[in-house]
Formats: sequence, C-alpha cells, structure tokens
Amino acid sequence: MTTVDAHRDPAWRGRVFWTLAALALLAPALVAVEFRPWIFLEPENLRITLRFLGDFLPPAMSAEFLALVARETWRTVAIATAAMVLAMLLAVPLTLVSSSALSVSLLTGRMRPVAMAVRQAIRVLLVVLRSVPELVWALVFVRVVGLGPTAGVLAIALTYTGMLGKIYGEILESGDLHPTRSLLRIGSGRLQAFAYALLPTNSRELTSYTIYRWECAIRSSAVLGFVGAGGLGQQLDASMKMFNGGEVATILVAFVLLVALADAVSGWLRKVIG
Amino acid sequence: MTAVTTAARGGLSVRLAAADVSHPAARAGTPPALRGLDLTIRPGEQVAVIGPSGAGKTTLLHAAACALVPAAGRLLLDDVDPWTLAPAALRRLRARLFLAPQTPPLPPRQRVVTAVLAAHLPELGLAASLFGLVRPAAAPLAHQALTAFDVGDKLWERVDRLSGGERQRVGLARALVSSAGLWLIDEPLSALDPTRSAQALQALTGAARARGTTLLASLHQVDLALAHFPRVLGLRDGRIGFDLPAGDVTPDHLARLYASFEHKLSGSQGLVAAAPAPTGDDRNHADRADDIRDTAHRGGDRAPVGRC
Repeated sequence: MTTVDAHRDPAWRGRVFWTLAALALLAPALVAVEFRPWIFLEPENLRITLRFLGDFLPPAMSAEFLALVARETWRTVAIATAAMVLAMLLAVPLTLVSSSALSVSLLTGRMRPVAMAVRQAIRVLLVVLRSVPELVWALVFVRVVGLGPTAGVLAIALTYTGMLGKIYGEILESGDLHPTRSLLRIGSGRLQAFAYALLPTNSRELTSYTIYRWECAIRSSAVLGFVGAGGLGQQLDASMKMFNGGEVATILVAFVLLVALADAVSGWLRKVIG
Repeated sequence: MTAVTTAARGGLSVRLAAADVSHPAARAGTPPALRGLDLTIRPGEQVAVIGPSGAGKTTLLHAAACALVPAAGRLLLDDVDPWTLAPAALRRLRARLFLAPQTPPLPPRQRVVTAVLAAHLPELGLAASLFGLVRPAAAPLAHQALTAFDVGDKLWERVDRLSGGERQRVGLARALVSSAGLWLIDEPLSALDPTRSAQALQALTGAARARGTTLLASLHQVDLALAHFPRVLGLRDGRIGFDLPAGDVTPDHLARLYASFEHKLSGSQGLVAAAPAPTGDDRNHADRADDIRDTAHRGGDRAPVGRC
C-alpha cells in the first residue's frame, strides 16, 4: 500500500506540460499561414471588401432567376442525397468489418492477427478515400463521365465513404460497449449484436452525424459546381465570373436555407429517436 | 415456478483447476484476482458465491463465462477446455453460457421486449433476428420471463423509462429467455429491496431447477444466499475460504470470511509501520463482520449487510 498526498494531484504536471506544448506548436502554425488579421482593417483593403460585398445588394429577385435557382437547388439536394446514400452503402459494410466494437477476439484479451490485418487494411483504404479531396475526384470523374451531376455524385460519395467509415467506426467504439459485448459473450453473431445492441446504443449520434455530413455534401457540391459538376455551385460559378453580386447573394441565401433545413431535420430526427 | 419454455439442453458442469485469473484492467504487478482456484460444480447444481468486496467473485463468474482467460491453470466446461476450441466451436459453447453482469447491459433507447429477446439471439438465424426487430414475434416468451420477476407490465416500455430495480429485473429476465445450460449471475440483487430480492432469487433458482440449468450467482446478501442456495462458496482474497452446503455454514465461517482486517495487518509489514491505528475504513470491516455474525445468529431476519 502507498500513502496518498491529498495536496498533490499527480495529473497536474502533465496537464501544464501539454497545455504549454500545444501553445508552442500553435505559434509556428500561425506564422506559416501568415496570420495577420489587422490587414483587414487597412483602409485600402476595407474599401475593396466593402465594394465586393456591396455588389451583393440587392439580391437578384427576377422570377426567371428564382425559378432557375429553385431548379438548381433541387438538383443540389439530389446530388447531396444521392452521394450520401452511395457513401453509406459503401461505408456501412466497411464499418461493420473494421469496427473493433464487434470484435469477438477482443472479448478476451487481444484481437487475432488476421482480424487486425483486415481492420488495418480497411482503415488504410478509408484514409486514402478521404485524403484525396473531392475536387480531385471530381476532376477525374468529369473526364470519365463528362460534365454534369454524375461526376459530382461519385466524387462526393468516394470522399464521404472515407469520412463516414472513419467516424461511424469511432462513434461505435466510443459508445457504451457493455450491451454489445454481453451479447457477443453469450454467443450471438456479430450482425445480431450490431442490430440488437450496438445500433440502438448509438443511433442518435449516428443519425446526427449522417445528417451533418449531408449538410456538408450540399456545401461540397457548391465547390464541385466550379469544375462543372452541376447544381447550385455551377450557377454560383457562372454568376461570379460575370461579377453579378445580386445573383451570388440569391444563391447564397438558397444555401443558407438548405443548411437550416438540414439542421431542422437533424433536430427533429434526434427527437424522434429520443 | 415459471412456465417459460425454451429448448433446455441440460446443465453444464464447471471445473476450475489451479486457476489464476487476473482482471484485464488490473495494473501490472498486482496479484491475480483469483489464485490457484480449484472448484467443481456439477450439472444442475446451484451455488452462491459470497465474500467481501474485491474477493474475486466477479472475476470467478467472468472466468466461468469465458470472458477472462486464466493466466495459469485450466477451465473446463462439460470437461472441455474452451480456450482450446476453434472460434466457431467457442461460439457454440458461448451460446450455452449466460452471464448477467452486475449492471444490466441494456441499450437505454431499446424497448424492454427487444432487450429481453436479445438473449434469445443465439437460437435464431440472422434473418429471423432482424425481422424480430421490426415485429417481435416472440413477445409472449419475453412477457412470461418478465412476469416471473413481476415486471411483465413493462414489456412495451423503453429501457430508459425504467427504474434501477426494474432494469435489474429485466436483465435477470433475459436469463429465462436464453437457453443456456449455465447461468452466471453477478450480484442480481444490488438494486432490489428485500421483498423483491427474495422473489427474484426464487424465480431464478426455481427456473434453473426446472430446466436443470447450472446456476452460479454472486451475492452480498449472506442470509439470502444461505436461504436460497444449497451450496455456498466463500471467497476471500482470490482464494476459497469455505465451500460448504448452506446448512453447514456457521457464523464463525462468516466472521472469518469477512474479517479481513487482522489478516491484512499481519500480512504486510509496511502497513503496520505506516498505520499503527486502524483507519475508518478498516473499522467498517470489523463492524461488518460483527453485523454478519448477528445476522447469522438471528436466522437472517435482518436487512442484508456489508453491501459495498
């Protein structure tokens, strides 16, 4: 038995050290990105910024343009949704295989080497999928399937497979594993344990993250529009190239509404799931 | 006692031979939670494990449930060492074990019916179990099991709407739904009042007897252990203090089992030097031993003691 010194928290020194270390790492990062916020306030820059923003007013409200925006908004939603469904179809099986939450050998000590190798391989695949920016995937697919929404859908789907697979796995592993482990321990299968314990334990977090990713897919589709992948983004690109601030403003409003919609849907679903 | 019927396949026998078992979360260098344990439980036998906190009761149940691998010695279930089995065979063996952990492992957002029927999964194919999520066809089975613990009315409730005691009884109802041949029940009464405790033990032991299922349960309620179980195992410091028919357990046995203070004092020179006077915690230990002696003398009519 050891004596305990109640005046000395053994974790204290480590905490101080890591806080200082984090600050020391942050300083060179700020230098590297030339972080000088005060240049925004120089009169010349301020004038340019305000003029650019001033162009946004008034937003373009002609019936013809609004109809166009509505059509492209619908297409953007379709791109984001199709891409998310595709990404989930790929990510869910990969998660089920790679998540250590469903490891039977981990119930008792260490994971088996084969299982560990498979999990590691999938992890590498997910890293590759998400480390290539969707913009690059889009440029690849535009060459294969031509300009249009298909390239955007495929590009987002691939990158998001990498992201969903990683985060789904982490959500499953960080939740309460007690129910899942108990079922595996009494001899139920991995998919049974997933359906009866792992999924109900983590359903709320999984839903909220998926809808957040859908929201991100809507934003991604905007970027992809710039390389001709269709949707609101392509319209945004066209309006910007023509220096039509009013149209840009209208399209941005459409984006804000979409994100707000995603937020509302997420909140509602979380309430339904409880 | 209970009319729940599942394909009973007879009880499993359990044998531990010179088994050392450590808890996975234990720090390196600490002695194993079970040391050189020898224990034989025949098929269909009902055994209560008692002993002070930290004696190794939970570790014993986990070792028998194939949840912990013995560091030394062997575990035999029906004369088979599970740790020599191939994964598929081990899984088939696991389907014959049911471990009810101390905190019921129920997903909070699941309905009680689904949570109970989850213990039935090893019997079902994947398609049937997925369909059961949509429409729990075996709901009557779950209802019977819940009724045995007086929580039949909670069948369609969600787990997070239940009280702690109800949750614990739902966790126990799972045992009745499983068709395991060995039930390992870890402190089934920690959230139950005395009336419910007796009822829950009666339901468990009655159902186990009816099916011939082997039952090993850890308990802190000494009087209930003596009243409901034919055989009582006293664990202390990872070793067997006594292993006797309930009728042969004397107050003296119990006093020695729970009075760990003197043993600690004489066993550790460093402690004697550092703490010449008993600390508050140690005094509690001594008090508890007295309480248990009282309880045993008066035929166990007092509220259970020594719950940590």
